[in-house]
Formats: sequence, structure tokens, C-alpha cells
Amino acid sequence: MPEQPLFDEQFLRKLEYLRIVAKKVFSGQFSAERRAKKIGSGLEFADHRDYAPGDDFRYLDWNLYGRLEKLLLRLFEEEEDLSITFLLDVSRSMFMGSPVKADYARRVAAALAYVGLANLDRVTILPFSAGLSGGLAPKRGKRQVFAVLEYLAGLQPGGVTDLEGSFREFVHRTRRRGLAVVLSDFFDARGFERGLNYLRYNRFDVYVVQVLDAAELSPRIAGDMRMVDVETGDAREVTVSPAILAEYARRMRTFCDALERYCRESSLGYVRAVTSVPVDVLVLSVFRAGGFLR
Amino acid sequence: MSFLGWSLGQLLLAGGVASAASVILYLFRRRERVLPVSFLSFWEGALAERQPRALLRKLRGLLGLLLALVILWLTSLALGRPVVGGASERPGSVVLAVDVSTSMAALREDLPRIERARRLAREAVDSYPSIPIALVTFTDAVNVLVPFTKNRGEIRARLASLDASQCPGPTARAMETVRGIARARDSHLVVIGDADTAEALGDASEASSVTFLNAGEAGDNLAITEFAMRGGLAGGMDYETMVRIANYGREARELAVKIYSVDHDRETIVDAVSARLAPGIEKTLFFPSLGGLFGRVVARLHEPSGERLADALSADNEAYIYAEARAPVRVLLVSPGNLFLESALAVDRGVVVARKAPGEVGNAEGFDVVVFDGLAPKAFSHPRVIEFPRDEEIEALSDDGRIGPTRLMIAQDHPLFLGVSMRDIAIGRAMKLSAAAGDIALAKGVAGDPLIVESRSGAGRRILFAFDPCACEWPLRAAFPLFWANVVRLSADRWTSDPFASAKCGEDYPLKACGEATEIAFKAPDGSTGSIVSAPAVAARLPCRQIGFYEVKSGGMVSYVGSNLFDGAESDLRGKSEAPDGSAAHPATVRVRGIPELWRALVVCAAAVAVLEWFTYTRRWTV
Repeated sequence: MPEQPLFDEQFLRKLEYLRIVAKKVFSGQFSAERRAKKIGSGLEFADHRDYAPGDDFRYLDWNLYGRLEKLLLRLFEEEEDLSITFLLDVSRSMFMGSPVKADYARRVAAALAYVGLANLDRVTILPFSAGLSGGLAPKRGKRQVFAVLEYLAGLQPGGVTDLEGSFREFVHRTRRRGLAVVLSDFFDARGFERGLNYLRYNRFDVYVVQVLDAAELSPRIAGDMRMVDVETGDAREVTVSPAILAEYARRMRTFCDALERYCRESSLGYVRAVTSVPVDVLVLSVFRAGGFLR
Repeated sequence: MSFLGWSLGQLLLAGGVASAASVILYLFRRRERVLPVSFLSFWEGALAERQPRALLRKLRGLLGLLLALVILWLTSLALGRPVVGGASERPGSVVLAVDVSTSMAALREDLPRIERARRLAREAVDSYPSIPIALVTFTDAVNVLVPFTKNRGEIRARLASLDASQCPGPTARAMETVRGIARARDSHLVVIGDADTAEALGDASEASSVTFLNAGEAGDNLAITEFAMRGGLAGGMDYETMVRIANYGREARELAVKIYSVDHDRETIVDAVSARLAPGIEKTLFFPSLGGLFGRVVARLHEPSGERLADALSADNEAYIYAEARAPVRVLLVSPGNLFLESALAVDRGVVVARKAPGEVGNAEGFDVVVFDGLAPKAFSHPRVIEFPRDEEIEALSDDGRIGPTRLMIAQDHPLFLGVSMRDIAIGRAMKLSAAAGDIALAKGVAGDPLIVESRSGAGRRILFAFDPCACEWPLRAAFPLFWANVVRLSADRWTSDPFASAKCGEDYPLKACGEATEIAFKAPDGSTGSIVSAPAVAARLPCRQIGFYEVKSGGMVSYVGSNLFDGAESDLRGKSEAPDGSAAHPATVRVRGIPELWRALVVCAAAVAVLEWFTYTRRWTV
């Protein structure tokens, strides 16, 4: 648990801002389609939205009009809606860094989840490490945002990272297809391709958010030390010199570039999230890059 | 190499303990830092190609330990302040002798030589660590300030308070005394001074046991080298004044010499004269009359503009003299008429002569001296009588009572004959005198017969001639009047051996002998006081160690003594040796060989090794 609240007042204000921005970004070409989908024949009241020319008069809420003198449409739950699953890496490697990568990933997930909730998408949070561990039942609607935030704040570190095992378990467990947002550092000794392929091959729209700490990209250490892998516990006595640092940085860069190239070639969304970049800046870049919200 | 006086065993034991502690600390410090990483695989890939083999890593670790030990040993050695050189090369003790004569107060760029001497002395003290040092100062006398001691604080404190005196510079005897102090303990002698010191040291400066450090540089100086007064015959009650000045410089100088009268610490200018001195030239200035000036008189050098002269050495820019008041000597001449004698006595305008015929003398009270032209009556009583027989009185004597012809043999160094030459004066006849016990024969004949005798009884003085001085060729001599001036003044005690009190600083000035033992109090120019005991018939000696007026009180009477430098060797700051181009040169400064200490080099080496060790092993940046 972070020392300071993971989602404070300032963060919540940013969430609303992001929602508004997201709404503007997608209020054009796709807005009608999304609304049409939303106004379903279901009996379960879901939410209100503003009346737009062309909407069905039958769903106008005249009681609200009497009170607010504002034309609002009643929305009912639609069976066929977008499902967004946030696959959040909670392995021990994610609890490294300053700020902690897991905290950063949770804030990103919270922001994106809030936008999804505001769009009446079904939002699911599934933490994973060596496999899936628990998860938050699907939520819809802005009123569920606090449940999402509370769940995210309560996540605990897991064990080693097993992307393939976790994603295989996910696709087998989840019948509803949709958007899978993977927030991880992808530090898996077995690689990332097989895990992501599971998602691709099972018709998930995948969006990859690779979370890294700036010190992991360019560490500033030197001298004799004993390096210990936080996940596996493997240790190595090393003497770090500038040449070693340069080689490490090159390997890290190669790894990240390989992931990005794989995602691009596989038509997967990709963003490299360095924890030194503010969350809201990152999320806005995700919106502008497209591919997250349709 | 010595080390804090420890034995080799003690040294090894201490080193072993320190090394063990160092190894323990090093191993503790070398406990490796554990760094958790997110993904070790990346590091292993980077390390695979570049990590040294395990053996090399271990050797590297041992090298780090060795560097730490080297740092420890270097630092420990530095703390012990080791010195280079065995016992044979280190002196057992050092005598540090500093010249504090007047010339050490000479300024160069507003810094006196003594300041440089203090600095050289401090450097010399630092160059001889851990051995006894004695601090000695010298002028023409030697003073041991600090006996042999290892207490550097005491030596430095005395050095800090060291200052140049006003006494003249070192003599060969003083240097020999200093060398004797060093020889007594087989000490190395370090002498700090100027060119005068080097000259006094002579060939001794070449000895391996002597190190000379030159604290002086050549400089230009103007000086008063003599200041004197005398009672002239034509001056009446006045004094003739003489000032000798010298230019110890390389360029001609214009200056003014002013004479001041000092009364109750107030100076009044009496006379002044301008002069121009070529380099290396001395000049004597005469002031024939100073208007009856007596008492404390000061001669001072000034710039042509009127300001006081400001040159390298100020101690010789003033001179001091005390002149007793000159009162006329009243002489009663009892004579039937003696043109030669009357004329001779009249030459000295400080002598007032009254003549009476024999038989009309009566009471001679009120006269300082009574001169009888002819033998004095036996009943006549006066404390100061000068008498000589007339030629006819000698003629009337029996053969046994007469001597002559003869020539006059005088005691030339007697004040009676000052300025007088009486050689080859033929005396036709003289009466035979019998000198009583205590009488002084001032002149004798060829055969040894006393011809002029001085008798004293108490305060009285009687001078008896055995011949008629006017009956020979003597009155025709030019010195005849001067002789009578001397006789009269001597008889009247008006002309002491030194009517002018002027002493040379550094010497003891003889004060008048008193009839009774008495304590004489004096006050020096700087205001300090002292006293000396005067024994009967033994002249008390006033120790003059400062330049200026000494006030002397004795028997309720106050007088003064002027103390002056008057030392050309001290005033001449140009140096004694000659450079190849003919100009004067000062002796070169010899760097104190001292005992080379290694601690600074050891500290630098330890720091360098520490930097190397830090850069190689300790420099760490944390994630």
C-alpha cells in the first residue's frame, strides 16, 4: 500500500477532466453509434444522457424535464456493450521504482477505467503475476468508479511474472470478448509474445501499456554490489562500470523496442509509460494516439 | 629515520594493532551492498561479456585492502613526523642567535630587518623539530633569552616580542661568546643578522656547524656620527658646537641640520644649517656660537622642506648632548705687574681677572682661583691657589734649593696640557720641590725633578710651579694663553674631564665620583627608572642602553646624559662586501638546511592513495 493515498482529491479531479476530454475526442463521428447502442430495449435503467436531434421521443424523461427544464433521455442496460478488462501486473517487479510502477499502473488503470465507466462500458480489473489472482467483477456506470478505485488501492504484490500462464487463464475464463488493456513491465523470462498471442488469437483487442521506471532505463549505480532479482531471488555479485551500464541500457532499449515492434506489427495498441511522466499526460497521449476508445 | 622516539618493537606492535583494526574495518566496509533489481536477466546479459574472472575479482579485492593499509601506514607515519637523516646528520641541539643591534631596526619597504629576522627565526625553529633550541640575542653583548628547551611555544613567544635595540652592533668578541655557547653543547649555531653580523662572524660563517641567515638588505641612510661641544677661548661663556654628518647612500642628498634647546620637554630651535652630501661622504658642521646655549641640546636631521628626515634608520638622525652651564672663572691675580701673564689670562673670555699688588691681597673670598705671581704668603688661605716663584726668588735660594737648567717634560694626556705642546721649553732655573704624599707631578725636568706639582687637600687644590713661567721662552709660545686657561679652569674645577655629558649607547657612562657613597637614580629616555650605588672615589657608571637623554638625580641635583648611536658601522646599511661590479653587496642568505621532515609528503601520498581507493572501490551511486 502506498504511504500516501493512491487516489487523492487531485487525482479524482483529473479523472473528471480526462472524461471530459475523452468525450470531446469521441463526440464526433462515433457518437451516434455509441448512443444507439446504448439505448437498448432492456428494462434495466442505466443512466441519463442529453437529448440529441434524432433520438427517440419515447425515452425522454419528462419528470426530469419538469424539474430541470432539460431534455434528457433514459438509457437502459444494453446486453451488447463494450467490455474493457484491465490486466494489471502485480508481480514483485512492479513494486519497484520511485514512484512505484504498480502505483503508477493503478493510476493509469483507474483513469482509463473511469473513462470507460463514464461511457457505460463494462470495466473489469484482473490482477496477475504468476497467474490471475482474484479480480473485480465487471462494473458499469460512473457510480461504480469508487468501487474500482477501492479495489485498485487494495491490491497486494504477487510473485513472479508469468504472462503466458496468466493470459491463457484469462482467455479460458472470459467468455465476453472486448478490449484487454495490459499494464505491465513485461519482465518475464519466458518472453511476452506467447502471452500476448493468447489474447490476439482469442479475438481480444489488446492495448499494451508498458510501465517502466526511469532508473530501470538508465540506472546510476557503480561499484561492487550483490544484485538480487526481486521475483526469482537469484543473486549475482557484480562490479558495475560505465561499460556495463551502457550494455545494460542497450539491452533494455532493445527489449522495449522489440515489444513495441511486435505490438505494431500485430496491430496492438502500445504505449511506453515511464513513471516520470504524469499520469494525466500519459492518458491524454493514449487518447490522442487512438486505439483505446472507439 | 626516527619516529616519535619509539623503538622498532614499539613501532611494529603499534603498526600491527593498527593494521588488524584496519583489516577488520575494511572487511566490514567491504560487506557487499545488496541491490534488488527488477529483472536480473538484463544485467546478466550485460555482465556476461565484461565481468572479470573470479580470481581477478578476488585479487582486486585484496588490492583494495592493501590500498587501505597503505593509507593507514602513511597517515600513521605522518603523525609521527619522521625526519630524514641519522643521528650523525642531526644536531643534538641548536643555538639560535639573533642580532638585535640598532641596524636591525632599518626599514625596507616599511618593514624593519628585525621583522624578517623574526620570520627567519621561526622558520629555523620549524626546521629543527624535537631537538633542544636555545634563543640568544646579541648586540655587542650577549643575552640568553631562552635556555635550551624543546618548548617551541616558549621560543615562539619570545621571538614574537623580539625587537631591535638601540645599541651598536656585534663585535667579534660578542660573536665569539655566542659561538662559545654553541660549542659548550656541541650545538649547531644559527645566526640571524645583517651585514655587520656577517662581518663580525668572519670566517666562522663558513663552518659547517654555523648557518648564517641574512635578515638585512642594502639600504641608504644619513646619520649624525658625532655631536660635540667645547668651550672655546674666544667664545666667552659660549660653547662651540660641532656636528658630523655622513651620507651612507648611493646618491647625493640635500638636508638640513637643526640645533634645538630642550627645556621641560619643549624644544626651541637655536640654529640651522643646510648641507649637501655626496654619497659616501662625511662632513663636519661648526656652530661657533649658540648664544650661550647650555643644558640639553639636540641636533636633528631634516629634509630640505623642513620635515624630519625619514630614512631607513631613524636612530641616528638625532644626537643628544648635555652641556653644563658655563659661568666665568673669577681669578685674582696677585702680581706687581706681569704683562705676559695678564695678557695670557685675558685671552680666555670665560676668565675674569682682577689684579692686586702683593700685600694688598687681603681676603680673597669671592674669587674662584688666586694666582700668585711669586710665592704665596704662607699665611694665605684659599682653596684654589696657583703660585710660581719669581725668578729673583729662585735666585735667592741656595744651590741646594735650585735645579736647572732643564727641559720641561709634561704628562701630555693630563687635561692641563690639552691642546698645549710644551716640548723643548728650556727652563733656566727652578727651585727644588718636594712632593708630599698624594701630590701629583704634572711636569718634570729631565732628571725627574718635579717642576709643576698639584696638591690636593680635601676640596682644595694647589698648583705650584717650580720655575717662573714668564722667565723662559714659554710666554712666546702660542699655546701659553691656552695653558693658563687650562690651569685656571682645572684649579677651579670648572672644567671637569667632561663638561659635556654625551655617551655612546651600549656603553656605561662614568658619572662624577662623590665624596660619600650615595644612590644615584636615573630615568631612561623611555621613562623606565633605575638606580646605581656610587662608592667613594669610584665613579658610578650609568648604563646607557637607549638613545636619548638620561635624567640623573644625585644629592638633590638633576643633570642629564645624552646617549647616542655614533656608530658608523651601524649607520652604514650599504653592506660590507663588494659585488663583482664593485657595488656593495650583502651576504647571501643561506637556507637553513634543517632536518627534512617527511610528514607533508606522507600526507600527500596518503591522500592520493585514498583518492585512488575511493575512485576504484568506494565510489557508488545508489539507484
